[in-house]
Amino acid sequence: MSSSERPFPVATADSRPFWQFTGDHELRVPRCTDCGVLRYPPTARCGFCLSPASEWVLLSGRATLTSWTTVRDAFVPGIPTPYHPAEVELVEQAGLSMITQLVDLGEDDLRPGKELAVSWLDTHHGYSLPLFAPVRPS
Amino acid sequence: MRSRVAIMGIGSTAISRDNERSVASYALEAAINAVADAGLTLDDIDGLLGCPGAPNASAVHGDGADEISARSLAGQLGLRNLSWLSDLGGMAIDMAVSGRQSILAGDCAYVLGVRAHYFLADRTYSAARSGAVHGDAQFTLPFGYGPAGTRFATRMQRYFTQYALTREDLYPVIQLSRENARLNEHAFWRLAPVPTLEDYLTARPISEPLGLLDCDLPVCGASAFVMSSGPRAKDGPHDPAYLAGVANWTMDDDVFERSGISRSDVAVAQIYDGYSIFVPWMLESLGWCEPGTALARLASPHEQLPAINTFGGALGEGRLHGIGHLREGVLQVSGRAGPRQVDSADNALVQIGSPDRSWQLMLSREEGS
Repeated sequence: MSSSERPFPVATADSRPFWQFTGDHELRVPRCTDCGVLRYPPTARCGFCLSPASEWVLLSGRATLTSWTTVRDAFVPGIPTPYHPAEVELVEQAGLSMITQLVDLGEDDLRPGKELAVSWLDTHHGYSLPLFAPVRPS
Repeated sequence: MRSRVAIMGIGSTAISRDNERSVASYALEAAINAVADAGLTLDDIDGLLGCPGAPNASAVHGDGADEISARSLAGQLGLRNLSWLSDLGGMAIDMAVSGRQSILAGDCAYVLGVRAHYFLADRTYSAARSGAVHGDAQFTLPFGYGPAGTRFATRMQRYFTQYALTREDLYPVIQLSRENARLNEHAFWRLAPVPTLEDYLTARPISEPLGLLDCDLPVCGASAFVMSSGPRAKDGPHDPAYLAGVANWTMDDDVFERSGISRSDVAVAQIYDGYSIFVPWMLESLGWCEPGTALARLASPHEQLPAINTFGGALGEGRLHGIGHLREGVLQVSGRAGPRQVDSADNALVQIGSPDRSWQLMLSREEGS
């Protein structure tokens, strides 16, 4: 393992399906089968009704930008600076937010509400990370 | 109202970047000074509390290397009459609350709490490790979001957007910290000129919008305190600082109700400032300012606010993770803050921790009844 490699996730029993699906470039999160609320990160029980029953639903991979930072000091190995960690809101549910990293940024893309789409980063450890990039007019 | 437990002695070391001294050396000096300040000897101490967590991402968490536990200190202090020892997670206020419980239960007469901070010379203070990420951080660190700066910079960006603020609006926090540090004999920056607005704005960006001067400085140093019941504390050489109320986690302003002390009766508040942006956030969540208005209040004469971070805070003194805030709260209430003393400091709020994980302790000159 290189000391300059990007940190990689180690799944728990609660998160193992999440990382298995991302390996296939599918963004899936648990949906409570009792109250219908989506949750992320994946947890053992629904945060609203505490039900343990859930199913893994496929998301569109679309999100909007909530906030961001431009990192200039390289405190995390394996990610060239500057880079842009961000908080995004997944379009499937108000308030369903995800911490991610923005890529393929153009000028003026760093603004609240910017429309984003998932952009997969495959790692050397078999995991794929859901990064996000601005949606461009086609 | 039940009888209040008090902090009756305080001890400190110099705060420096000197890691030629060991973490134990700092902790022992602070502990010995606190016991002497309380007018006691080490044989009087029957309770010992530690809070050994090194908070930096590059910490090795070695007891005696970059942290120090009560378990380790008990032997080195030669404490012969200990009947209770505990090492706590969390913050310095956890030690004060645990000590209060031991004293109120009648288990201990004199409890000593010690908190040291230290960094090892051979590593970058905030650098995360490469490799496997376990637990909750699996959803943040692989995205480069992890060392606290990125987390709070992201929230700061959202706050700036929401209330149309800029970095310039934060300068009053830097200014007051560094001005007050010049009155604090322990402060790392006590002899340094106060940075100008331009110095602040042009300092090295870390995780924008956070820049270098928004971050507290990693230091080596320690503080300690001695607690006892009200009647015992009154026999000591100094005016006691009574614990009037505590709260933590999400119900920040419960500390006012629990202590029976209203915001307008708090003359001085030590607000945790690991990052400058925490100060306005806490003034808002503690109800001193409406959301989005704290920076404007700090920039203009602010009679309706308590005196804030009279010792310079962590931004002026160095990063002791809140034990400095506790020390200053005690000294203010005890009337022993010297050139920093605030008039009529009958009550002092001590707040430690980031706004999403905050501890509050109200200290008072009043014993209660």
